[in-house]
Amino acid sequence: MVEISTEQGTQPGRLLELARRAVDSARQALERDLAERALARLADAEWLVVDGLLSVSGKLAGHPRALGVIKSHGAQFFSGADLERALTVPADTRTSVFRARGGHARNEVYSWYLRLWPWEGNDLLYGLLRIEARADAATIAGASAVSGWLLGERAPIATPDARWDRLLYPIHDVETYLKARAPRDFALSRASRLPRLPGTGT
Amino acid sequence: MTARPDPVAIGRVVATELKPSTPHQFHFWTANETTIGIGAIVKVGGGGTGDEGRVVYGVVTDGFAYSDLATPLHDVIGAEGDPARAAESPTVRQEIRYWTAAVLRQIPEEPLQPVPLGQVFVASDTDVAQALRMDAYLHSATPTAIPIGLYTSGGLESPVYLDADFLLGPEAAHLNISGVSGLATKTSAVEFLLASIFRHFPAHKGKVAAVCFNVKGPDLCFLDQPGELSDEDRRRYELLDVPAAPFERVHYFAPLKADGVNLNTLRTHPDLVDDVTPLTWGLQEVVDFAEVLLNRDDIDAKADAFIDYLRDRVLGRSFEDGFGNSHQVGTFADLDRFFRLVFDGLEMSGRSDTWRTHHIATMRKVRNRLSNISTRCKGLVTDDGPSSDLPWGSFEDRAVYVIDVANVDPLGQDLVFARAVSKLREHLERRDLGVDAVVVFVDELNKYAPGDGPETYVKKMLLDISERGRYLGLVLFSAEQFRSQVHRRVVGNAGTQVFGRMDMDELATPGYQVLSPATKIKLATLPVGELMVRHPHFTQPIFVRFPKPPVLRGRDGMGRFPATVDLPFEDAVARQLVHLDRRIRPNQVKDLIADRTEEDVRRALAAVRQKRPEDVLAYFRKMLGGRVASDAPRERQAVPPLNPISDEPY
Repeated sequence: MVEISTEQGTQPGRLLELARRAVDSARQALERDLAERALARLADAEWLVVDGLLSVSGKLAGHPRALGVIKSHGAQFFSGADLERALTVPADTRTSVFRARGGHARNEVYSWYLRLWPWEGNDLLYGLLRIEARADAATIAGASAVSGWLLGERAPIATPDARWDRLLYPIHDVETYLKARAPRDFALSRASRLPRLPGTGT
Repeated sequence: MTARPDPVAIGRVVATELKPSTPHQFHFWTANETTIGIGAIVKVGGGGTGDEGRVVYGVVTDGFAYSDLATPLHDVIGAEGDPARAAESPTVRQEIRYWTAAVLRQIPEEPLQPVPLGQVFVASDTDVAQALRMDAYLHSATPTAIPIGLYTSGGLESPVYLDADFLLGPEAAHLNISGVSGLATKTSAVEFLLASIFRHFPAHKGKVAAVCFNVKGPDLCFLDQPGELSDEDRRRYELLDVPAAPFERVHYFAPLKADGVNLNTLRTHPDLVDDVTPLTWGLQEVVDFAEVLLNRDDIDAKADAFIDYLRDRVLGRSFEDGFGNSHQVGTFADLDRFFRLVFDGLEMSGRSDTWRTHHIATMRKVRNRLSNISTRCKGLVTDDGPSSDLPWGSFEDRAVYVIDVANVDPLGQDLVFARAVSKLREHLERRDLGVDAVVVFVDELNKYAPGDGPETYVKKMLLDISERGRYLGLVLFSAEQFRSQVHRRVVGNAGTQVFGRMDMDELATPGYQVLSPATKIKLATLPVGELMVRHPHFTQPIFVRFPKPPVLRGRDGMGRFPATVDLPFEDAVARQLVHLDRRIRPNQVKDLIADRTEEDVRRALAAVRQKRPEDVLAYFRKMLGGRVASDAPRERQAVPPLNPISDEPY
């Protein structure tokens, strides 16, 4: 349950948007909290792969075996020739590690781009991931190995999700689980919005 | 007292718009690692997990495995076209096990409703009894349960029982078993079931016996000899409460070979042959079944009328033929004499076309067919002499009577079957057989009651047993390879139907459309010792396992008791007499029969077999008659002509 302020207006459409943002924010906080608790239980040989930014949490950003896998590329870290090089990196190849600044980042992390599938014939972002890891020299040294592990996760393909070219199957698996566990009225119904008849279950 | 642990759910019913639950079918999922499979019995609900306490029992008829793979192409792309790489994927794709089950029973039975969403449990022993409605005849005041095998699934070994009222009458009756040949499943199953019937036949239903026709090889020749059983088999016998021992009372009958003294069976090993009684019939026994021996073209009203005339007026009574000859026809030899004299009489009198309203052509045809019987079935049918038959009227309780016709001419097999079954029926109708119910086991039903082909006497008899036998206690246990090719009314009247491993072509026939593809696959790969059973109380087919029969299998029996070669005539006669009286020395017999015709010896031997006298040798000697030494012809004294008037010498 989240609380929203009605001071910004009572127009239903506006309220719905406020509610969505509030729920989104609460979800992110829960996810962050969950990730930090998972880190505390992480064994020596285990890694935590986070769907999204690592830099939103100081604990995550500073952990040596935490990775953030970003599928959407709203934040832009380069321009000009560097940007072109980053967005046209071939399949099975990564860029060099760079310091990620800007965007939603609150903590400093190192990052690099990794192409899972050939983009030729598709758009530039096809199969392109950005990886975040601790801002440390060890990250630079281990970037190739980590990239190899992630490339291995291309199979099984995360279909039928439309983002399969960038969606790692284990993350797709978690999403499927969460969707199955979500309350029935959590997702917007595409079914009939006719009023329900009492006692009929319809 | 320790509390029973609560059962752990192994699955959950799911219903979608595309695959909803119905009153007869439901779907559920389980973990990937599960003990259930096709044929497993499951329970839905119970213990408050169902819909208001409703409990549903079902049997798994189909299984599916799903993953979230949208199309096979995606897997190819994921593996980059290399199957080896697909196996190296660090994450295993999601997969589920999804099962379809057919409803066996719902409690309460009314109102009959779709299966509710609920937890699914593996059935327990009690659940199996409930699901198969066995509780009604297993725990009643007069139990009628007869074990047929063990339901083995999910680590359970639960006895499955048939209802004697529905297996041996009067409610329903008969059992039909189908399966590919060569696995010995059909014969083994019947042997085990007979042992089970003999142990569990309800006391209030009286006495029971079995008549088995051995129609091929040595299949049923060693029912009284113990076979090898594993510890596992013995344990199963214990669970089913059936003695793991061969049949105590087995009586073997086999026709003689053409020589009239050696037995026409594979049970001729010296240690066993003494238990085999020769089966020989004369004219009196055969004539009532003349129709069996006449082919379709022969059976017309005229031939039929003449056979009836012979039966009513001629056979077994004094008869004047109208040409001054009197007849007492009791044997084929007498019959031949009768025909010869009648034909001679007709010829002499110039009335060569009809005799007592019967046309001579009809008479010749009937004579020809009847005379041929003793030729074609030589050894079974004797030209003359007494017959040797089954002990009609004194059948023993829990005894098996094996009639070995494996090496007999097909015509002879038909004759044996028709007469034996007719006599059984006749005695059961009069309630003077000695037992109250008889199980008749006939293998190779494809041959004796095919779905197409001519209407033979044997087929008519099988139909008659199938349709009316249950009222008399005459129960047919039949076996065949292709059920689809057996007469529909014969298999259709079988209350209990059993299936061993089946041929896929056979499973593709319309008779098996009610089975799911998975059940068909299971049937096509069924191991030896496992069967699928349909019984009136079971709403769905059930798979059961039965132990190896406690008797020596035919093939093994031939290894342990190989058949002996035919003995010379004198030795064979001596052996038969020694069998009847151990005091007789073979040389005594050989001296007696030296210089005697084989016909005389056979006739005397048959008389001894029938009479079973105290002093066998003396009776045999008496029947043989005094030896008439042939004298050398004496030289005739010439009588001179009295008054010679010419040169002629007479």
